[in-house]
This record gives sequence, structure tokens and C-alpha cells, in this order.
Amino acid sequence: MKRLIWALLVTILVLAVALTALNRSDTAAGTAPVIAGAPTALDVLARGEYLTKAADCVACHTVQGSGSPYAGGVAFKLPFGTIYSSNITADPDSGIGSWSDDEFVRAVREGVRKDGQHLYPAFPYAAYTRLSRSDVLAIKAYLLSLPPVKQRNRANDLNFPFNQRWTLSFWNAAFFKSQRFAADAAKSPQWNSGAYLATALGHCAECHTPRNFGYGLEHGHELAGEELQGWRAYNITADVAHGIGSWTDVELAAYLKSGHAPGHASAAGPMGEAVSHSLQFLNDEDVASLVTYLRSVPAQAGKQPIEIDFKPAPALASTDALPGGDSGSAHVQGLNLFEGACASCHQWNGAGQQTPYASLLGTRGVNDVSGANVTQAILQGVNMRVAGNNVYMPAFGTGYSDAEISALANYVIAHFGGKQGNVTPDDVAKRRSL
Amino acid sequence: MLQKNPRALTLLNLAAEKIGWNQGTLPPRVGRGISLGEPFGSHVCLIVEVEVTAQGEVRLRRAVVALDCGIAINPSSIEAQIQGGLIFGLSAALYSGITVKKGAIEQSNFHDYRSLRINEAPRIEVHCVQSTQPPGGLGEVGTAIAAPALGNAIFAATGVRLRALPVERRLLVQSADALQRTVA
Repeated sequence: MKRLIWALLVTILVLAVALTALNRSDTAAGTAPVIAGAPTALDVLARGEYLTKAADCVACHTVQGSGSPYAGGVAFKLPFGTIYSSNITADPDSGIGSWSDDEFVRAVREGVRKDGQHLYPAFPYAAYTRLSRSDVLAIKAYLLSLPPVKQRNRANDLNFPFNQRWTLSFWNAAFFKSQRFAADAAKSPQWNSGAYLATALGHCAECHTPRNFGYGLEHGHELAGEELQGWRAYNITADVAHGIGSWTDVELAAYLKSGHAPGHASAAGPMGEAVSHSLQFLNDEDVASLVTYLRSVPAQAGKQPIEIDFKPAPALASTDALPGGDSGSAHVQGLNLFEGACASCHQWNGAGQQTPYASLLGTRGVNDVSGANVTQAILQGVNMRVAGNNVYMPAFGTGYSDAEISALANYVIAHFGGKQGNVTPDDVAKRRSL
Repeated sequence: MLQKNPRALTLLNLAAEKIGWNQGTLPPRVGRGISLGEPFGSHVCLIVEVEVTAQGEVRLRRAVVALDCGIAINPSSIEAQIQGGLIFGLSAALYSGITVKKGAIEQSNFHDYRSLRINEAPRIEVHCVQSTQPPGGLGEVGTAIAAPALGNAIFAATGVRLRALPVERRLLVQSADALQRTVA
């Protein structure tokens, strides 16, 4: 019995030591590579503003449409409950106005807030941990220079045991490593800037890298694509068929800057937010650096790879104004709906009119047989502001039934992707609830 | 029952005859519904024929209207007004819900406040009887009679008696597994 107790005590001690060791913070201040849009010579507020945009803080900390900037309250629906983002305005009570530099840096880079409680990794501290202290403090200076907003943080709505913040020390031990960005001397300065923009500031991996059973990032499959909040974040590795390997530098840069790359993609959903809140504000040099970095991400096919049909027979058999090539009665309902609600902007040949964003051919959306993003775009529409212009598609979710939207999505996949979609009304219902 | 209302009886018989009531059997999940009334001083009978798909979508196959609007001056305008009013009424019954969220109406434009598209509209026959009665209204006659006939037709097709409008298509699903299939 005595031996058993000893063994138990030793085990607990070993576990505690291991947990502490795995939760150890990198004490280095860290050095950022040169970011063209935010040179160190620049005034700290201007630098902070650029970095805040590059880190896309506003997207998660501002309720779309109705919320005050950075006042938080955005809901993140996760499989185990809902998390609400927090107020990061200068208000001393409900915001972060009373936080010291060290407290702010610890929150951003270690995921531990002022009161010592863990933040949930919906806040991408796993990426921000790579930021340099001076960059984090520039962001803080900028945030605190904005008008304070008094708005209490909304309590999370999580199931047990996920509502126990202390359990996150186990998650951190398993999946989080506190570590500053380290420049790779073997790579070009441009690559290093791009790596810092993509992995420390822009946190691309948070959506584009697959997650494991414990919600940790699968680092062996960097940027190979994942589905999050009902949208697919596509494979953006250098894979020619399934990633962005076939895109030219100009196309990639155009996509990051404007949300549209001719013949490849138009951003919507969370990526639309990333473009409208963040990426469009990067200067051309930084966008070029990002492209350089993305090019170097090892090619992978990823989960549920999408085969793009660049010459879908039905769309090619159609004109801008008239459909052709659709197979018999298989898609009558979808065709009727497309005719009534979609054809006037997207056109039967998928070329799109009024705006290049309405073109459909060659996009992964219409080639994905799961119809994830096509369904989401139909349900939620698109509403982003890029370079002073509105990019807009109406949201058809409330006007159309699940059966109709599934039929429409399958028609779009057949007509513009040349393949059989497998969207069911139940799938649509599920995406509605996300 | 209608012996004391000969104008209504004439219209009911006329509409039934024109749609072929009791002639042959209808396919499964196809049904007909009748509405009869005297809105706006006109007498009217509508029979609408619908198909309800396994996934609960309502397809309008046919509509027959028998009308006694008193003395008929301009027959083609009468036909047009009845057709237009009926399409408006069917749109409202099928799609045009208004919902309020946080004190504001959610519907903003035609993408979320639907009306019947031309490719969703049924073939509509309007049969106007000769009459010397004083003229009645026409503009909203078709609108007023749309929903009751539609509700009855859906009941005839599915056995589901709807108690609220617009039509909640989820209630008309044939079986739960129908929603786990792609639409053919």
C-alpha cells in the first residue's frame, strides 16, 4: 500500500513537472524581419496600425455591421460551445485600458490574460507567440490610441469540461509552443518577411492548416486545407492540382490584395473578411513577400482534394444569356432556381457580368462536390469592401428552402464544375446552423 | 348547400368541369384544392392543382378560375388581373413571410422576400361567365382566393393541414430520409 502511494506521488510529480516544462514561456523579446509597410523608423502608432491590420485583430473583435470597433462580442461557434471575443479597446474596466505592457504581451504571445486565466486558442496566440515584443507593443499603443468603448465581455457558453480554463494548460502542453519568430538565414529577406506576415501576423494556418482530434494544428500538413465554421479554407500549398501551385505570382498577389484572381477564385466568407479587413491594406512589397513564402510551402493534396475542371462541358455549351449542355431532367429544379436568381449576374457560361468577382469557372467552390462554400455563399451572400468598392452578392438563405439550396448547389457544381455534387437538404440545414 | 347561392354554384360546377374534377386519378402527392368566395363584390371559384415533392417542395401544376364579376367590359384585362392577383396571392402564401429581429424587419429586397418566378407559375385558366349583375372588383380577387385553395390542395396531396402561412415546407417532407438525398 505504501509503495502504491509512493508510486502515485511520483507519477503526479512527474506529470506536474512535465506540464510545467511544456507550458514554459519563451522569454526572448524576439526580432521581427523587416516589414516593408511598417519600418521601425516609422512612428509607433503608424506602425501599430499597420501591424494591427496585418494581424487582422478587427475581424474577430468587432461585431459585423452593428458593433463598435474592437469592442468584442463576436460569437465563435465551436463543436463544444460558443466563445465570444473580448473587448480590446482602451476602456479601463471592460477593455484593456488598465493592462500593463507585460500583461498585454503575455496575453498575445502566451494566451494568458491579465487575471492569469488561460485564453481559448480561438484567439490565435499560437501564431502571435512568434511576434516580437516591440511589434506587440506597437499594436497595443495603436489600440489604446483609439476611442475606449465601455462594453462588458459576454460570458462564453461552453459545455463542461471545456468551460474550465485551467484545462487549457494541458492543451497548451500538447499543442502550443511559446516561441519567437526566428529568421532563416538560408532564405531571402523577402521570404522571411513573408513567413512573419503569414505565420506570426496573418495567422493563415489557423484556418488553412488541418486540425487534429484535439483541435491542435497538424504541422506536418501546413496550409493543406481545413473546414471551419462551415466554410472550407482551401489548400494553399504549392500543389499544382490541389493547391495554388498553378497560380501566377500576379494572380496570387491580386487575390490577396483584392479577393479575386481571374479564373481561380473570388473570396467570400472568412477569407472575404481577411481580405477586406487585413490583406488589402498590405503594401505591394509585403504582398510580394507573402507570395514568396506561400510558394515555398510544401505541396500536399490535403483532405478531400478538389479536382478542378477548367473546361466543364455544360458551361462551355452555354452562352452568356442561354443555358446549354445540362443533362436532361437531373437538375431541373436547380436550373430553374439558377435561371431565376443567379443567371443575371453569374451568366450561364459562368463568365460573370457587372463585376469580375461574379465569375465562377475554375474556382474551387464550384468544383468541390461537398458544395461547402457554394452553399455558404448562397446562404450568406458576400458583402465586403475592397479598395473603396462594395463587393456584394445577396444572401438567399432566408428566401429559399434547404431542398432548393441543395438542388441549386448541385446544379452549380454540375454546370460549372462538370461533376456530380452531393449536397443534401440536411447538409444545408447543418450549414445554416453554423 | 349552395342551392340558395346560384351564382356560387354555377362557378363551382364550371371550375370543376374545366379542371376535370373526378375524371381519372391523380398521381401520388398531387392534390387539388378549392376556394370559393365573393371578395370585392365579385363571385369567384379557384381550383389549384399542386404536386408536393418528397422533400416538401410545392410545385404549382395548374390553376382554374371561374369568375362572375358582374357585367364584363374588358375580358382580356379581367384575365390579366385575375392571373396577376393570383400569382401575387400564391407568392404570399408560399414565400412572403415577414420576420422581425431585434425590432427590425429582416426582409430587405426580393432575394429574401420572394415572389413566384415565371418558371414557377402554374398555367392559369380564367373562365368568366356572362352576367348582367352590377360590376364587382377584380384587382385583388385572385389574391384573396389564392391561399385557401393552395392550403386545401397541399392537404389533398400530403394529408398535412397547414395552420400558418407562409407554407412551412419542412412540414411537408414525405419522410426524414428524403432530406438526406440529393435532388434528382
